Amino acid sequence: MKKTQVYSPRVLNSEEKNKVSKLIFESTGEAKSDVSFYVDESLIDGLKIIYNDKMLDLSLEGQIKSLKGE
Amino acid sequence: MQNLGLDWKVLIAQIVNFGLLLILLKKYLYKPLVKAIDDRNKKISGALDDSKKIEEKLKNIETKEVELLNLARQKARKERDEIVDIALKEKEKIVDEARVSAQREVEKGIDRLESAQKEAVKVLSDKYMDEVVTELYKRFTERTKKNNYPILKSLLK
Repeated sequence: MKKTQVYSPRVLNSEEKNKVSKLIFESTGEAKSDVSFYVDESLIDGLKIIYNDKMLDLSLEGQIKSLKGE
Repeated sequence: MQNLGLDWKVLIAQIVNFGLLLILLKKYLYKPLVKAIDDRNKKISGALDDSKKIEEKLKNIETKEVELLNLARQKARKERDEIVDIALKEKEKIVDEARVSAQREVEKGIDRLESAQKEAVKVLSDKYMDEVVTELYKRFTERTKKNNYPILKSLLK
């Protein structure tokens, strides 16, 4: 079972966590994965998902950093 | 004869006198006169010959002059054509060199402009981007909290 880390700017409730798991399933195709949720306020808004050493940055921080060329 | 009134002695004397007169005339008048006329004729004939020779020479000279003029014209035309040809080639060469040089200058100018533009963008980016990013962080942090994280909401619809 692969581990997945999910970062959000605030604490997610159980319904939101389920939706995130569903989103991961739709993206990866894996029905089961070990998902851990973390809070990272520096994201400002959105989500950051790290799955199988790959990062899916859906955060506002990532968008702002891309402006800077980082 | 005497019946005719002629005296033999007088007649003979007159004949002798006339003969003497003829001899003297021939010696002192007729010969020099004929000689002078012959000399003059010869001179005239010589002058006419000279004149003809001079005319022929003049014609020859004119012919040669025309030939020389034609040759000179041909030579001048040939030299002019050569000079024009050389000048045209030189002109083309100069124009080509100028075109290449201008093209190089334009390319150099474009390179310089691009470098200056990149440098300006880099300087501006370095100078203002940190400020812009900091400002964006600040504004969005406040706004997203107020609006209850709209991107997150949109992702988890």
